[in-house]
Amino acid sequence: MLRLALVLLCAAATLTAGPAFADSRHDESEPCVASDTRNVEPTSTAPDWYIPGVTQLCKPEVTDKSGEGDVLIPTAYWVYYENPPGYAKWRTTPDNADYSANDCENSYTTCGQKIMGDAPWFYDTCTNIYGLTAAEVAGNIRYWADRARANGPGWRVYTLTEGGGYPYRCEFSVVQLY
Amino acid sequence: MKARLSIASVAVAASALLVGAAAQPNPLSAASGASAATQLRVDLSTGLVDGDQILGKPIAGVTAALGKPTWRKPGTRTYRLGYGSQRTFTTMVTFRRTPAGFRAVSIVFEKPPVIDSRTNFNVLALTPRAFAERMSRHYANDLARVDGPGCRKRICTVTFAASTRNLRVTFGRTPTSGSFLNLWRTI
Repeated sequence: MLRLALVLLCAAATLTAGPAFADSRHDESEPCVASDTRNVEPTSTAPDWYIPGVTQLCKPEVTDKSGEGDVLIPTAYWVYYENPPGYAKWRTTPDNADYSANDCENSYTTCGQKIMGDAPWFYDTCTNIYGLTAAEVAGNIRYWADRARANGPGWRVYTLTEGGGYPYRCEFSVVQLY
Repeated sequence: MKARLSIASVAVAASALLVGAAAQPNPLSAASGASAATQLRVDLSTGLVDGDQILGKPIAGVTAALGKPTWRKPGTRTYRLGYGSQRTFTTMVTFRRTPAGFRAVSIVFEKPPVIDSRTNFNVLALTPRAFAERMSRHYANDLARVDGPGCRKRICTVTFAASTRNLRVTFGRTPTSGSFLNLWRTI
């Protein structure tokens, strides 16, 4: 009975938030980042199983072959938009998100300038409200960058505010552009 | 910020503050103190601030109404200005760029006692849940709850939409700055 309960508990945990394991290209003992376009609730930290730079995508990234891929975007600044109207968000490509992750590890107090246009506000929110270290913020950005890559071309990393543009939420997720 | 309140309205506001403080103690209000020069009256159903329609105004119109800001954060798509320190502001106004130039889309209050003109109560003394209850009681015909009250991480909010205007009212609480009131609208 106890064994059955444990099995069910493990199964439930895997279905809700767990990493993907089953893929012919991967060692089944190693978790990997799978394509998932449904479970995109913004988070403030990466899942425990995700190790930046170590955890790989379950399937190789499908690159944009249109000739207008991410590499042509010349700026490190994230793009402001609202969706729905009044709800401020900033989005960027997975590669540029990784750039910001490095930026935050190197200079936590200034990296928010490129992410959401206000470094002190970003730093204050991420540290004092969310209690996050630079490594945690960077790891979360990298996790969502990999999630965007796993989902395919047209997916971007974004961060957001509450309605009306205040307060900022030190959380990230992915959004599909096309 | 300009002092605009008459002695009578200050007295009313002060008494409301005392009543509110007794009902819902708010460390933020107590810490910042009640100053007539920083008390503002807001009409939550119209968005009027001391009788002025701040939302929709250009930058110059807002500074003419509220006074010279202590800080500004220019940007290409948005522009923010505020009163008090940037980290712990009393009031912050956000503008969005439109074809006609920057227009105010949001005004956030954090520190000064903000008196609801309908109930004469300092709304910043409330919790989000208490704010929601008061709005349901006093603004049932004007404001409809569209989100919350709920907490995400350590940020708690509740949002109402005005029935006749493109106005939203978000009330919330953060662990660092306490209660805030955001009057905002979309463009």
